[in-house]
Amino acid sequence: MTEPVATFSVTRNLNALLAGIGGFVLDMIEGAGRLASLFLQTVYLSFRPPFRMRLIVEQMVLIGIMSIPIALLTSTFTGMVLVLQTGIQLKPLGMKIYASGISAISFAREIGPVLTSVVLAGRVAAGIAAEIGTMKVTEQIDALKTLGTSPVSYLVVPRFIAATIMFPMLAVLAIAVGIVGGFIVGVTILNIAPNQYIANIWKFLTLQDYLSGLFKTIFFGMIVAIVGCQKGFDAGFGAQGVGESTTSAVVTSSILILIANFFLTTWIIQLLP
Amino acid sequence: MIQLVDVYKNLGGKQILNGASMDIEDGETRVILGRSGEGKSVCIKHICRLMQPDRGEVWVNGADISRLKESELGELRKTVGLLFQYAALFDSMNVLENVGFTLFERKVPVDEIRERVRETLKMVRLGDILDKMPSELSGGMKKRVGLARSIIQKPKILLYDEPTTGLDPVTSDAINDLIIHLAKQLKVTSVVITHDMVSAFKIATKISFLYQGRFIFTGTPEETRESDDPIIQQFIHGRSDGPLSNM
Repeated sequence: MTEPVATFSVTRNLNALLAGIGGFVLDMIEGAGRLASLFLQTVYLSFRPPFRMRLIVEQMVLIGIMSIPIALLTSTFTGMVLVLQTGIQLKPLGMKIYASGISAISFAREIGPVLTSVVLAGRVAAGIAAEIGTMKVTEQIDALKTLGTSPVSYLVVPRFIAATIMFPMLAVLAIAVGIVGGFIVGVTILNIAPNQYIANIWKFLTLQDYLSGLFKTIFFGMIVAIVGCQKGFDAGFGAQGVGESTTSAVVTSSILILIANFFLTTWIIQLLP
Repeated sequence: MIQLVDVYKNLGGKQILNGASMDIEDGETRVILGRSGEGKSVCIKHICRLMQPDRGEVWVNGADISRLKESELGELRKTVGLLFQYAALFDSMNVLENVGFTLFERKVPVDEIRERVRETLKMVRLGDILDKMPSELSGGMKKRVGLARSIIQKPKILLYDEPTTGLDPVTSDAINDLIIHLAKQLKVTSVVITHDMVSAFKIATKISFLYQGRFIFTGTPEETRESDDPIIQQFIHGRSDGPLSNM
């Protein structure tokens, strides 16, 4: 008597599991579709009037200038740790003087742009999602529509343009400051001669390394702006809905940055080996 | 003229509008009554194309707006104004920027915008509060500023979503007077959602009752008072006992 009941229970659990996985996959596909659609609309509207320069500049200040302290602080200490770890590993091989060059390359190509973008994703995507989410739950987005203004044109385009411009600029600063942080550790803790440290950076680091890192941050900026806006538009009701959209914006944009980084790096290596 | 023809709308698996039909003549002030969650707001969101029906037609000034593309909605947006339940003022902008929003978007010179905003604020009986932020305004002032924002383009249709909710009786009556005054002065067609029966009987030229996704009654305020439908009677007298309570 118990066997059919047990079989029924397993089948039911299996069905529920498959339904859960299916639902998750469908949600992912739907979410990706909405992001792609918003991205295409935004790119299209970015080249059509009205061009809202005041809003773009405002967003450049909010996204870029206000993020300088957090970007610099993060990259300084990461640059320090990177040189310290590299130097310690190379010391037994008698090659610690190369710590500067090796660290500078990894910082310019990968760690600087990716780390800065992920840290900024936390600040910028969360801010955008919270602001647009609040506008949605207080019907300000509907008000924009009834006044004949496209929310994508008015809210998304300025943030998209600002993030696309400011992310590479912040990365330029972050990479430079990270290398300076590494220099301080290299000279004071690893006891590498300053001129030798700098000479090795010039020897190893090329403009191509620097530019390839910066090139990626253009796309990271786009990801953060689009994800932040989309999550804001998708916000549910009340404070809880806005909170959930904010969290989701940070998680989604961080993951997408890491995934995009792999594909962009593969592409850049093929183009500029 | 506004016409809803057999409109169906399902939201989140719940059938909100279930074949709703309604005709509103030019110059009318139509009040829509119904219990909370019956779809009154959904109805007016169809009239300003914030929502599209799953089935049915929505005609505004001779065009079926449910079939229009986003890019063809410009004229509709100019002719229909909506006062939101909580005014929906842009909280990062002051009163001048809120009320003059459409003018700033059209790059009208700032001096002209100031002048027109002042005039419009006068129409809603507000003084010179151009530099105030929404957070500095009372509930009644927010509604008036929201109304000023809706009428600055001189629309032909004004939609009000619970205009007196959350206001004290005196302020509510002032808003009622304003709705009547604007209907006469601007010669607009007004559609008002309210639960406030005093307001409904004061401002309406006709009243419609929405029940289970359909309009089950339309009549003048006198006809509404004298209706022998127990649903209408229970609602207008605010009784807890009756057919509406057995839903």
